[in-house]
Amino acid sequence: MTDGPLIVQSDKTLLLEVDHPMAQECRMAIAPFAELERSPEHVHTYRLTPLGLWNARAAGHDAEQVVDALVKFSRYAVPHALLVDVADTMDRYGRLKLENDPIHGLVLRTTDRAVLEEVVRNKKVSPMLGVRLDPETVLAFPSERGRLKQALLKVGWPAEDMAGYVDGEAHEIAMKEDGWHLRDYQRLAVEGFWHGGSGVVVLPCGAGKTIVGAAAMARASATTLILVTNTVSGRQWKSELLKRTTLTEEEIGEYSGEKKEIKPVTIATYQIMTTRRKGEYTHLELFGARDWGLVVYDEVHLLPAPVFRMTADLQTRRRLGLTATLVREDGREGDVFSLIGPKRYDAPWKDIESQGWIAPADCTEVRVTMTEAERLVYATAEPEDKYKLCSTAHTKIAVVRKLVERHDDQVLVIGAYLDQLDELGVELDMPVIQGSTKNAERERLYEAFRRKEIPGLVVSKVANFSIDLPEAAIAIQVSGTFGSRQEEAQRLGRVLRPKEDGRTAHFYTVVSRDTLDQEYAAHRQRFLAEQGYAYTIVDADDVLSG
Amino acid sequence: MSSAAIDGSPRSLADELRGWPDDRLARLLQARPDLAAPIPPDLGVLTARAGVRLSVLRALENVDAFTLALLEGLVVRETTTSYADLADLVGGHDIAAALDRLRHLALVWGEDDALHVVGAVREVLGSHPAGLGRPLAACMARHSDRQLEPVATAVGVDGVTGLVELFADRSRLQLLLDKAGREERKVLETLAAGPPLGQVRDALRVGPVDSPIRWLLAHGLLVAIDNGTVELPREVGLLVRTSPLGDVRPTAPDLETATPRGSDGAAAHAAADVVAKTEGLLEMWSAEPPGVLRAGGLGVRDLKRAAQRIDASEQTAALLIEVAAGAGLVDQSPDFDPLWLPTPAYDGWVGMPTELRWTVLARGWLALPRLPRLVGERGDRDKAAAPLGPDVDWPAAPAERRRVLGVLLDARPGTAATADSVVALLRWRAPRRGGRLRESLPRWTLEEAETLGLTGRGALSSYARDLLTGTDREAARALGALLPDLLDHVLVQPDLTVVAPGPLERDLARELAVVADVESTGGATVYRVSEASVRRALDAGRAASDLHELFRSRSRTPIPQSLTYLVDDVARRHGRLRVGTAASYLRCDDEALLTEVLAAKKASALKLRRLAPTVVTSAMPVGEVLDVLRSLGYAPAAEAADGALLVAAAVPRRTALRPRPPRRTEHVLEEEQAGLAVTALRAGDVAARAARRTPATPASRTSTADTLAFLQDAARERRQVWIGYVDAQGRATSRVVEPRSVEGGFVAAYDYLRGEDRTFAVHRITGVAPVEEGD
Repeated sequence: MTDGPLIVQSDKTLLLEVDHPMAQECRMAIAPFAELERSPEHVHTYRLTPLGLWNARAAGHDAEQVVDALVKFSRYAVPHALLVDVADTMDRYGRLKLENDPIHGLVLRTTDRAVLEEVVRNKKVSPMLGVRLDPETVLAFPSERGRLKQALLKVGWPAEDMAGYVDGEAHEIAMKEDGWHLRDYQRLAVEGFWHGGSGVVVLPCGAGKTIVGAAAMARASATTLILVTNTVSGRQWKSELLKRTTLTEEEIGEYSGEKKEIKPVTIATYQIMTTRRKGEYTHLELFGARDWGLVVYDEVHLLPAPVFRMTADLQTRRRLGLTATLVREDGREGDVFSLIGPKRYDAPWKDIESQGWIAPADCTEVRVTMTEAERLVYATAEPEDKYKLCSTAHTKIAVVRKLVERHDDQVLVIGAYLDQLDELGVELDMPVIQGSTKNAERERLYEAFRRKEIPGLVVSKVANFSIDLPEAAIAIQVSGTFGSRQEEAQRLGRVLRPKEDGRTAHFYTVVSRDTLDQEYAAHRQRFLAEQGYAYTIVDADDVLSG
Repeated sequence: MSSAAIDGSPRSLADELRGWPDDRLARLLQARPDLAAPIPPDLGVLTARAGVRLSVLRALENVDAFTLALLEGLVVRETTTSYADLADLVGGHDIAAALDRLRHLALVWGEDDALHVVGAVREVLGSHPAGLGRPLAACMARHSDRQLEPVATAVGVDGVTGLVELFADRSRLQLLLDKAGREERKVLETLAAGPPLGQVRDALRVGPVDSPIRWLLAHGLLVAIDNGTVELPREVGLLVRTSPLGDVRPTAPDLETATPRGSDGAAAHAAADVVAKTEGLLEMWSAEPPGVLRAGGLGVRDLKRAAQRIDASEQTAALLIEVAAGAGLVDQSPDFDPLWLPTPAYDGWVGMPTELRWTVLARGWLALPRLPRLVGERGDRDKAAAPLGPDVDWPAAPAERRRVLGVLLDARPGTAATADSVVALLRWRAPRRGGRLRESLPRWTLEEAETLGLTGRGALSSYARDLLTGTDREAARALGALLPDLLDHVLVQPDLTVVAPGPLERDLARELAVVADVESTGGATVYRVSEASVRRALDAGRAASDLHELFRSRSRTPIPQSLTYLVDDVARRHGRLRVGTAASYLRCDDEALLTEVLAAKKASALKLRRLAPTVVTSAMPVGEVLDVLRSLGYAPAAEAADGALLVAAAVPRRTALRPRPPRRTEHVLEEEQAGLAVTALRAGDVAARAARRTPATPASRTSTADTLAFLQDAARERRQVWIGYVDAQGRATSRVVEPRSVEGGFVAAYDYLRGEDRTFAVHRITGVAPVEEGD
């Protein structure tokens, strides 16, 4: 028994006591293979998963390092069975390799014949394999490279993809570091990606993922296809690329519902890629429109299923995934691993925050008590209407106004229900942006917001995705989509961009007491607390009187 | 043998035992305890018992491979043999100690120049000791002269006697062997390696010598024992073999060992885990005890639930349940519908420190006459064996565990041994022991020892050594030193988790378990406080202030505001809705009238309680309330469940059924039980009536041949018979049985005395008699 900071649990979670003197050292040692699951103030929880261990293998760590780290930092004896399991799991990665044979082309090669025998007999795997070349090698169909990797992951023998990439059409791109510099972690992220060839970089919102993307493009110096969640986000990518790289307006194309430009660097939305006409994905040809040297996926955790299928055919291109979290609400982490690639870089939010790159945030839950009349309506409502009723309680309006008045700063008010948003817009005298707002109008309003011509914006769910509002230091959310963690991460991201003066960001949630609203707020609260943010609860009366 | 008598050599085993000093006889009885039950009246009886097949079988269970080889050597020699010859047979190894053991066990007697082996040993070791065939004379015993004559002629001797003489002379036999060709020799070598029987077509056919087998048959080097089988005579086998008794290991095989790091720590970890899991399980059973299956034991679903509760496999759960029962912490309640419940001993156990609690469990396991690993195995009736049920019994289990742990105990402290090598060593030490589980038992024992924390990473822990060789106190002290200290604090986090970074003091753990749910266990325990868990604490009688105080005093970290809010929120809402029992109600829009009724003296019998200005409840049923109110001069009307008025006269009076303790008389006999009861009744009946009618000697002494014929007839006709029987302990009984089959010296029969199927040894049946119809 040592006096280490780490406690290994029987469910394969690792508890790290952060106030321990060896905590930092321990964190560095376990971060490569354990997924950070929760990071509340005192004890962080990591989890050992097969994917995490394979990610570590892909990054060049071996089982011995993992076992050593666990044994070295563990406070109590580590169950032997767990160590054996770790070693066994890690040992599964790389037994199979996809390689480029000079004579036969793409082959699946093994160092362990038994494993190859197992997979060639698997019903799901065998159709993707060709003839047996020798006991250790079997021909693989290049067109099935992605699906083969998916299938192999499913049967528990993830293949290491060594088959390499095509360079693609070269195109000069360089970083333009005038008055700013690539941050250390961004540089490390790009290095990690380039070294691995393909993969995912995990960085929190506001930590400069776009710049990591730009630097990767400069590194590749090749034509690039960038897939983003929506048009606004695409335009922001474009302006960022113009600012940070030597690329010019003419070199960057937009491929969206409105424009269909194909240029050396093309930015397309997930939406257009997944649009179907007569059951056909009509914009698929974009992938083959040029000899792309790099494909960038923004917000990988939102990557829609059809794009996964298309990506399976893109395995000879370098792929970079960018995201704030590998956790997908649809549980398709395995597909990200096999199709985009293993995780190449990851940094915990709080660490980046302490380096001053993202703003410290102060999260507050304001509890309003609904009026008797509202409570009565709520009590007798149909279950499906309940959430809307309590989250749009009129009582909230006054509290929101008071909060807005309290801060002499620009405010984002975020909600899910249009009636409520319209009402708030009128009450607060702020423009409302919702799904039906035209892109041009949106950009005009964003610009006005940036120039501080308006005191704030009332936005609907559209704000959940990549919009860039650099100076939003105050966010107030009044209703949401049933406490989704995904949404919470996004909304928090809105206010976490670094402020010029380093002032604290405020994140308010206004909830109705003793209702579903409060129940969902509990989920959000848990999420924020797990991310390590201070979370306080105040009574609406205190706000109104203060 | 008269000369032997003159020079003082013993003439029989009895003779030799008579010459033994008392302490040596005492050691014999210790080594073979079945000889002393009951105490034999004289040495003659002792000798007789020592020569009984079953007793010899038991004695051989404790004999090691080398000693057994020696015994086989003795059996190979048809008559007596000498020390030197015997040593030669086993390949020249030193046999003094092993021979001594056999003498001490009264399996071998006589001086070194004339060693005898007890007759039953020959029977037990069979006709092919050490994989050798029978002697030529025995092989040819049933051959006719017509068959023998050509062989004798071919070899060039006169008749059987000549053949046997030739075979008895090694050098002459060798000359004969030398005539065999390469192919013939190959056949001989194969059969010599054992088993000595070979399958051949038309073995008995006399014909041309057209194959190696035919040549060997023609020269008596192989003997046809029936038309499909040939046997290699022992004399030939001994000559062909390089070592006459095969591969004989004079010493035990070595263990494959390793010295794992941190084995004590790992073991202590497992020990603490087992204690915690056992407590968790029994706490659950205190609250929701599982029922006892009709056939005994615990149901499959309850086992699954137990496994889930302690976050372990069903196999581990079954082990812990069995061990807890073995340690006396769990038993079935004496109710009519019995439940599995913790015993009062459990309360004492729970109060002890972890290390002592572990010794209780470990002792329980060591002494457990059951095999938890049999749980789930399909038995005779294709029914899975239930934990705590009868199918898991295994009386030899404690001795087996000692044997297995003894291997580790003999090894250097901290040494782990592979299961394979332990199995091999144990097999050498007692090759005739273990039966069908011989391979599995040591493995299971090693696995269970690891689970229970007696071993860590395969090595016997220091404290388990103390437990096996010393006292519980010593073991507990050693274990205690390895266990992490109990903590008196926790870390409360803003995400409403409470982390106990190590084992907690008991009181604290109990309180936390009330107010929070366990999310993960291991070195630490992570609890989560939720609305439901706080409500549970409030339901259990804690006040909000108690909870605040618990967190305030026990948390090393500041209490997050959200936790305070959660507790207060739940407390605020707790108990706002009240639920109670009433048998009837009164309602009345006129508040004054209700007040009047409440004030009436006679109405006090109705146990009225005012819930609201216009609502009063009563603990009495509607009819009674109506009667009392009417007698008071009111005009009440009864209301139906939907509020409609009931017509008064139409209400027949009924009373609500009060809960009653279940009574035996209410029980209905189910079909299966009834069937069993009748069977038992009949069996008792038959036995009792037969006993009345039979004379003092129930079954007259009959010859063995008659006995067999009689029993076979009875088995064929499914007839009940009387038998007189002497059991292994020497008790004579007479009983009514229904024989099913008679073979190999045993009778399988349904025993009406015991009400079950049993096997009887024919040689122990003293007599048989028919059961008359009138019986």
